[in-house]
Amino acid sequence: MKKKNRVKEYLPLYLMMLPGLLYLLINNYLPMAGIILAFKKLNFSKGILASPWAGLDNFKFLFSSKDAWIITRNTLLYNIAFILVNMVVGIAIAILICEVKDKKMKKIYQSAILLPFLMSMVILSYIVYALLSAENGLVNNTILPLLHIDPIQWYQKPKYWPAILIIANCWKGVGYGCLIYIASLIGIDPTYYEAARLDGASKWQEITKITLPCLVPTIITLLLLSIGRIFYSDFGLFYQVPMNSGLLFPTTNVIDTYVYRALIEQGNISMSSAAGVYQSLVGFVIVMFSNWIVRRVDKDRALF
Amino acid sequence: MKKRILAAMLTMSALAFMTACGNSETGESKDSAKNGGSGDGPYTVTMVLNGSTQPDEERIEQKINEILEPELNADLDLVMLPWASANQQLQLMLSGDEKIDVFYTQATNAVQYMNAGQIVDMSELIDKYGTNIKKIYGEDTAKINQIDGFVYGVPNQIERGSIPAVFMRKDLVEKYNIDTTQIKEPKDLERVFETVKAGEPDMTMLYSMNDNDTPLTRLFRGDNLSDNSYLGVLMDQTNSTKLENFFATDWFRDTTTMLYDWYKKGYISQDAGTNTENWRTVFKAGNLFSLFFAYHPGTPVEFESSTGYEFEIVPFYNEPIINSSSYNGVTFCIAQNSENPEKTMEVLDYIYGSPEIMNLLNWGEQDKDYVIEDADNGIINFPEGITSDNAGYNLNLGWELPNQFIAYKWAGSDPKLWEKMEEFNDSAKSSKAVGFLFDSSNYSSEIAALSNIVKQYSGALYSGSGDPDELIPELLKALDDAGINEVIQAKQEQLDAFLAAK
Amino acid sequence: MTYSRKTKRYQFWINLILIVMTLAVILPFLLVFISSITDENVLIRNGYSFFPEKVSFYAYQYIIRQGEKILRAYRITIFTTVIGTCLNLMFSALLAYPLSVKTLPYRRQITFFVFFTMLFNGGLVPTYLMYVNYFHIKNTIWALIVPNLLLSANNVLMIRSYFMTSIPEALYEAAKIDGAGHAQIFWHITFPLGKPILVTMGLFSALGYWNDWTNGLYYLSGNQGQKLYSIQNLLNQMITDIQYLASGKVAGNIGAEVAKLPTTSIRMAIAFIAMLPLFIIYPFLQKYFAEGITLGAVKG
Repeated sequence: MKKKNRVKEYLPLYLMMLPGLLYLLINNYLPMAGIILAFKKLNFSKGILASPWAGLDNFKFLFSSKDAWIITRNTLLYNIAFILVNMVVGIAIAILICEVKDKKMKKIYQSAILLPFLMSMVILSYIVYALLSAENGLVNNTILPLLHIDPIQWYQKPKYWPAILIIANCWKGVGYGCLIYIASLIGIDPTYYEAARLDGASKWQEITKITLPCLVPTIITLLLLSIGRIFYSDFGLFYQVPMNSGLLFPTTNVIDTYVYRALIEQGNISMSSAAGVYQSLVGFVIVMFSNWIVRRVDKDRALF
Repeated sequence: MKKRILAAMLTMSALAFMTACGNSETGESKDSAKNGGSGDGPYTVTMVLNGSTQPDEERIEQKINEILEPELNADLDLVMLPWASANQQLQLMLSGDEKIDVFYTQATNAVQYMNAGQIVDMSELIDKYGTNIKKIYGEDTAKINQIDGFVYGVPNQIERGSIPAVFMRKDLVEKYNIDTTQIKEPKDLERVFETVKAGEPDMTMLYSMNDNDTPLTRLFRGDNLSDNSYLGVLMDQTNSTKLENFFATDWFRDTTTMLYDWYKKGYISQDAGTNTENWRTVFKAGNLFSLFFAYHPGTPVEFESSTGYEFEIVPFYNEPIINSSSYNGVTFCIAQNSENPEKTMEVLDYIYGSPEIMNLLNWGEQDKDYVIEDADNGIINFPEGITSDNAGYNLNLGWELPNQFIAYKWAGSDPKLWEKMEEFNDSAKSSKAVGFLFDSSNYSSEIAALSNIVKQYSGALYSGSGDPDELIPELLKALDDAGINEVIQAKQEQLDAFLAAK
Repeated sequence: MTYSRKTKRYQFWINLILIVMTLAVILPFLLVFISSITDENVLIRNGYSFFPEKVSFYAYQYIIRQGEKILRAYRITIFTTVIGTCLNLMFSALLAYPLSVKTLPYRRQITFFVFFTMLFNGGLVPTYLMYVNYFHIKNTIWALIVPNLLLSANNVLMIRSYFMTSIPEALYEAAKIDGAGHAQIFWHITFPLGKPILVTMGLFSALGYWNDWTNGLYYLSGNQGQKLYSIQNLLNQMITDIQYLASGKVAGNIGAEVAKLPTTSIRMAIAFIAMLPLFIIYPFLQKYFAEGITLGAVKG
């Protein structure tokens, strides 16, 4: 009797999930079988399944060179920086926007933060070039002379690029998190604030004691979702924006660009598949670990 | 009420999936009807090229089939892949069961396909069906593109080899009374740059960029054995077969030093290391004096039509050298998923010998897409009222097609262009390594690392924007650590074996 | 409404910071537009600038002459974006709601099933082979809608998180006491209150469809495929065609027209045109966003 009720109660829910789960099965899980490409020495005349096994040979190129450490370090550090910077800036802007009383201006700001999404990385790389080009760039020709600094060959000096790429990434990507934070901020019960104001709390206390704690679930969800991608990079950002300039590799070469440059002459499908598996595996381990930690702290906040 | 809406949403989504499969079924059946498969109907040969799809492609295909069907019982289906995505799309098409028979590619890609079992060994097919090809090239050269006996592609008719030269704007040469007979080698250009720069302070003297058309690679006279990373090259390919480490040679050090010197003097743009503008665009803007480029009989017209200026050309050598890439820069390969490789080879070979089909493929229908201006020299042009904007079919990709030497020439070309090309090709000396291609499948990891290292330093060094004294030692050490000597040795072994087998 | 002096000063600083932010966002777009109307030769000589020496609309003239192709591409893009986004939102919401119900059996496993798709990927070749050889979507409109964009685990989990945190349990309990089933709860409570996140995710999904050029790249080829080009694919192809024509690889003189092709300013004009419709539409979408805001504020 109980079981029948349970089924009757939850059946509609399972039905609701059906189309989505079916799609994920087809679009994501079926092709996952393709991971075996990474472990085979492909011969299409024999077909994928009958091709000989290659063990871990296809993974060698990711670890065997001196560059392997550099690209791993770059990928990790940049992603950590991106996550932190975008989070801080995104929350700050979200709070500011929610504080604005003028409805018209609020609309304008909300539209503005999403605009950078519309710009492709290629165009962004032209804009950065317009700023940093040695001959005609805005910075070398206008800004630096004002500050009495000599022109800098931006595209030859690796040390400036972590800052440049972090700013470029923030400009382009902060809108995503920001909008989600705004949606969450709207969902906060205004009675909390009224009560706080009655108690005489300052603006700063309101933010730290009410707003931020209420945002924590969203922050954690966004964080866990980003951590899974921690070994991937935005190819356009690291390839186009530095104009594919070789001298910048020490600080701009990441796993994705390294694989691209390595395979563009060789076109080896197995090797690029191997790189993908490597990136996924690391992200997977880190996410499982992070989710486990979050689970220990507060069961509800974990992703699963 | 809500349940009904829910049910409606679910059925809609299910319908969406159904129609997705349904739609494509009808699309697929149309294709298979065209195919004909085995049996009496003509076999459709799908030829994949790179370029832009022409609006009237179907009309031209029909005209081609009017010739092919009675002759060979075959049809031709042309598929054009856009330049930007061609490599990727081609690789995908060769991975599955799609309909593809013959396609254009270059050597390095062809070898990848060969190693992955994606193309067919053409040696027997050439023997049986390659009459025209054998006539044009001779039996040996027809099969020149092979590794260990596996012929991976047939060459096409284009210029063989070229001569490194400097191209200078004629109007400026005359304005400053430059005596071009004094220019024997690149270093002699320094005085020229000095003179012209004094009179045109804002103009860039020499074009430079960090990839493809770099001054250094354009001046290179050796044979890089079709390796874009220059890992082990022949510096004196007509006489010697000993491979050298390109980056350790004196020539490399001297040339990069010369370019860096010009960079410091302002003859080369300060943006050379990151430049992405094509030299044609920069010339058109009026801001450029000269360029190092490859000379062959077709280049003067190419320069003038794309920049609007006339050029004074000074070659640095007297004759071209045919390098190992001269025959495999453009090849036609047959896919492993081709259902009828024999028929495909027949059709391919037929095109090599058929001016009618070559003209249809490249220029379209006579009198509809072009008219003959000069019958003696085979010069054609647009008919009244047609321009490049509204032309129904004007492929103009002679260098990519099997045999442009038997087709018409477009207006503005040298009337004796094909004759001059053949003369040019005949005058060429030959590299001892012609036809050789390195099979890198055992060295993938090393090459992956080496490619990245070369990419790191080549931009600055090839363009002249980096200091050789600082960068070359770093580069050499990095290459050593990554195993360049093993790779060069392996290449030498393969080269020696290849030469012994000839 | 009059504000205290303190509030006014506070508002002043907030608005100032946000205005600077808005300028930082808008100026690059302005630069793109100005470059597209700068004379090509000036652009090459002097680089990009807000104050061009010479203005020229040649890039736009060239594009307008391609008029019909562009209109068709816009139609395709709008169609795929609208249909794709609706389907995406529907599937995502339907998947997210049950996962937000804490008592659902196997909830943790199903969430993991969804999340796992974000971590592991079969790669391009297997996905392509599956869609082309088994589902035959090559050169059909579904090639632009189905692969990868129709549902994303990211969106689903974001929506789920919002449902769980911003919609009070009390409302669900009250509804259950009234005898409502899950479907009714979803429709009457979750859906209206979840408007802010749904609109947000819908926006991202729409942007994903609008900007996507990889599906067209892989699944459309030849003459048939060309007819289905979205605006991004078309513009991509125009750019490479122009670069190719200007590269002079073609033998012989195709005419003075080719010599005049303004490659750089055309690139900018093309980029601008691709972004334009979204600029125009976005302020109208703001209305729905605001609706969600007010609805969300009135609770309890």
